[in-house]
Amino acid sequence: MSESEAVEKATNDERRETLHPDRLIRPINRILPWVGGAAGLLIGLGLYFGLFASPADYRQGQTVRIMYVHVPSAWIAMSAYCLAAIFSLLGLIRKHPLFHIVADSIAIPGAAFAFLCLVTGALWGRPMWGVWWSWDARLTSMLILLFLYFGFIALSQAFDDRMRGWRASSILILVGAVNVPIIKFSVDWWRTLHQPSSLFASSGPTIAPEMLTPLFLMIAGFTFFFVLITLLRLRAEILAAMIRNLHRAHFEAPSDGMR
Amino acid sequence: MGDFLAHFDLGASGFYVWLAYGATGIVMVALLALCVLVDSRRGDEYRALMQRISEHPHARKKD
Repeated sequence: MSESEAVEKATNDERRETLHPDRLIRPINRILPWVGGAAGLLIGLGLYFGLFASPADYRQGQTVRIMYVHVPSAWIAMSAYCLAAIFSLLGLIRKHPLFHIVADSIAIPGAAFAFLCLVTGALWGRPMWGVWWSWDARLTSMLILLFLYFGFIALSQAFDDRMRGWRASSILILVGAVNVPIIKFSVDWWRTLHQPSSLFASSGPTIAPEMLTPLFLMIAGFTFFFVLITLLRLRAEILAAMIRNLHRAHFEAPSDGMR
Repeated sequence: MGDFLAHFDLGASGFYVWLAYGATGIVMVALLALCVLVDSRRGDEYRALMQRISEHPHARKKD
């Protein structure tokens, strides 16, 4: 065995060791029920306060209740994108598949919440603005975020060699990261139909405390739900990688490392 | 019963509110169910492969 083959074998062994179920799947198994329980409890409380125990808005009426699912969806969609971009960057720098697997696992719930943000926004816009959709800066940049998620997910699965797919999808998500501050500050930079930031405003929240309770409960609940989905996806992706490695090691001819 | 149902009456814009919560619920439950299904299938595949390897140790490749 040549020196380069020995180095490659050691690298692959190290990768397989890192992806060992005892090191990654057991901690996930331990925290999953707690994360799921916290998500269920917080979303249940958020639904109660959001639908029944909080007042209607003096201008928006009952429609304000859509905010309790719309804002958490937007929060998760943008945070998940930032997280996926960070893990993709780490994957490019460290050349370790685990970072890319984490980014892949984050992207699926991130895309789902970006979709929900757009749908609930349209359902709020129809009674408030009189239109389902407007090509204003905030809405359009959020739609671009959803397309970036779709591109990232498609690219990472597009190649037989997973590393090539991960490299391409990482570049896409990193280039697309410029869209995140555009979404955040679009309401300040341009005149838009969408109202300015009312929760994370520099002068503090401009929402009544009775409405902040369900909003924060739902944000916390959605965050735990996002972690739950990500951990489930991560466990499935790790198992898939282990199955590929085991299959290759026991039943196939030697190849060039983990895919 | 009427008093209970009155809690769910959100007036003229109630349709949009219930539609938003319904869509959110459907997407979240579908996402969770899909992830649990895929995760469970991967677990089954992994256990079946480990069983296959333990039953056929001669298939182990030599370096």
